[in-house]
Amino acid sequence: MNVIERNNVIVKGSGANVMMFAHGFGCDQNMWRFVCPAFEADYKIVLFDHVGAGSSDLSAYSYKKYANLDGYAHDIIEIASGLEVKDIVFVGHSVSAIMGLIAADIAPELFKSIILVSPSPSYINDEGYIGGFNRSEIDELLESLENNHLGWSMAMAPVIMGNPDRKELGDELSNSFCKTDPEIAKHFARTTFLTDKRDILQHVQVPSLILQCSNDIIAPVEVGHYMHECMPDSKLVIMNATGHCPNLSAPEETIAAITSYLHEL
Amino acid sequence: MNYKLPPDLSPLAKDFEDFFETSLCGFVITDGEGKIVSVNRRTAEWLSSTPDQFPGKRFSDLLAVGGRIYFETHLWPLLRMQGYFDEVAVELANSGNGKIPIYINGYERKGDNNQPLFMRFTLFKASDRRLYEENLQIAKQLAEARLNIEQKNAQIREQFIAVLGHDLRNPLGGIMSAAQLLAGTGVNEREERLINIIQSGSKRMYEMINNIMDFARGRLGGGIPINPVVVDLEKLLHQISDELKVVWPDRQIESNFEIGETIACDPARISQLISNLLANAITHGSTETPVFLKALVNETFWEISVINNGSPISKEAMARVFHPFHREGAQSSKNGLGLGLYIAAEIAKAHNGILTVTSDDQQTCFTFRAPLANPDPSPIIA
Repeated sequence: MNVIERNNVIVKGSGANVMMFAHGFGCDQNMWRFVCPAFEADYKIVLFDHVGAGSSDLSAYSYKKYANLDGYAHDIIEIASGLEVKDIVFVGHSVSAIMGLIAADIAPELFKSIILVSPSPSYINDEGYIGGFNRSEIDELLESLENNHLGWSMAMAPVIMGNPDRKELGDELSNSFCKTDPEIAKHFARTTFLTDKRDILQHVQVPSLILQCSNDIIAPVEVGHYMHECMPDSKLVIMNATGHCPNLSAPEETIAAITSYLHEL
Repeated sequence: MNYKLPPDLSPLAKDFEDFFETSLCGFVITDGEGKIVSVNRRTAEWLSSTPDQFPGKRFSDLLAVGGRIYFETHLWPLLRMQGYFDEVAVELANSGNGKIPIYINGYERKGDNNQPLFMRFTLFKASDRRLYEENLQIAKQLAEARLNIEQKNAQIREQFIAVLGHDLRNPLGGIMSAAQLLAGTGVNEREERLINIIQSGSKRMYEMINNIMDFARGRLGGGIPINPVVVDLEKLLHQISDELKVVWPDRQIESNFEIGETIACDPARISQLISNLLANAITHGSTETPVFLKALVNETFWEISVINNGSPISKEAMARVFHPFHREGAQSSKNGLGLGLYIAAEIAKAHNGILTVTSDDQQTCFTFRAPLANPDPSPIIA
């Protein structure tokens, strides 16, 4: 199976420049549905699902490869190579924003700029760093997932698999945008919330925009300031939007912030 | 928001405030961005609090940390993308009562401009159901563990069979060679008879051991290995039927071949398959009529059938006819172990083909059929 099928890559829109959207932990590419249409006239839009999420090829999920974010970053590079695109405006939500930074660290020539929506390089508080959670709280999350205390009953899990065509989602497939195989969800949560990629921030050479919500329990405002200070060519915008997904709760504000940044570039 | 029960509440009174506050489930209303506007008294009670403590907080603040993260990463996005979500398990934040397991349903009410006006959430206490689910989960894990152990045991047994078969073959080989040598040394009639008994007995034993080893190969997941080469199928089939005519000189095998294409197969394995079917047909079929051997090769598939008349295979036996250790009736069959048809079916499978059977009062017919595109010229070990 090639990369395009593996990651359920969808290309739409016209334009010479490429915008690639990467979803975060918990959802699939549908989370960009309110944002990406605004860029379709000017950009070639690349959407995809991380392996293990959405309509990706679940059989390609490797517990070894995806035990850290580098595995996902390599997928991003492979998608760009598979489509033969470069000078990409990469838009990553949450943990995918960090995947984008790792990818740009490995292959800077592929990226024109990186837009980080509600990013966090590390979720756990440390000396001189506020990540938002104590280690014990993250352990509690992982334990809750481990014990099936979160989400849908285990019996419902298989329903979401192998659904190649989102448009014909039946009722039986409701909730599927955000429902993943429980084993994969646990592993992705572990990879995401135990990641500490603070060390790469200062190496980022690609210009970047940090979009930070004003009340986000997953990535507090302090994280946005921290990243902005560490990243040489970065701009920080604190949005009025609250929550962790401004692309869903405040798409207009998100679009406006991205558009104005792209004009400045 | 100190709610007091109305004094004159009749069962049918449309007092929605009372309904909201004292329902057996929790209600929470948030604005379009997830900020709490109102929670009912039931919800507040579960959190050892009062309803006025919640407006302004985010919905996820009601939940324990796992649920809080889950809500922000899964449920909130889902509410915006799908407009609702159903039956999601989370836990309320611990306010001294432990983390109460709940199920929540949520939906988004949109305004005329398709923008969210507000969100409503219904919370159901689910401690008992959670316990039930946990029990189910433990039962499932136990069953999986047991199955795992059983599978390992089965594998060890089958490996044992394979090793046993292999090791039995060596001493038997010695016995067979010795008998062969003895037979060539000018023995008397009585000795010749005894040597014949040794030879036919050890030959049967040799076949049984081969079958056991084929069985073990099939069961150990490797399947029966084949080496396909291009063969003259007609010649091969004549050879097989001639061999059987030597064993049963008073029985007839009538052939009917329509072979239009050359095929690739493992000749030794196909001989084993067809020879087994013919021997079965001869031993179990009517002695009055011949056994029919038919072959058809066209552009898309090749097919070999063995047909006999006589009493049909019983319904019960049909279901298990290709199972290992199956025997027709109680009597011992020719090779003694009831592995013949199982191995025949495995050989068919190794050729990407299939072995089927039909049986009625007129005739019993075993048919092997495989696609012609097959087999892969390289040995198939699958």
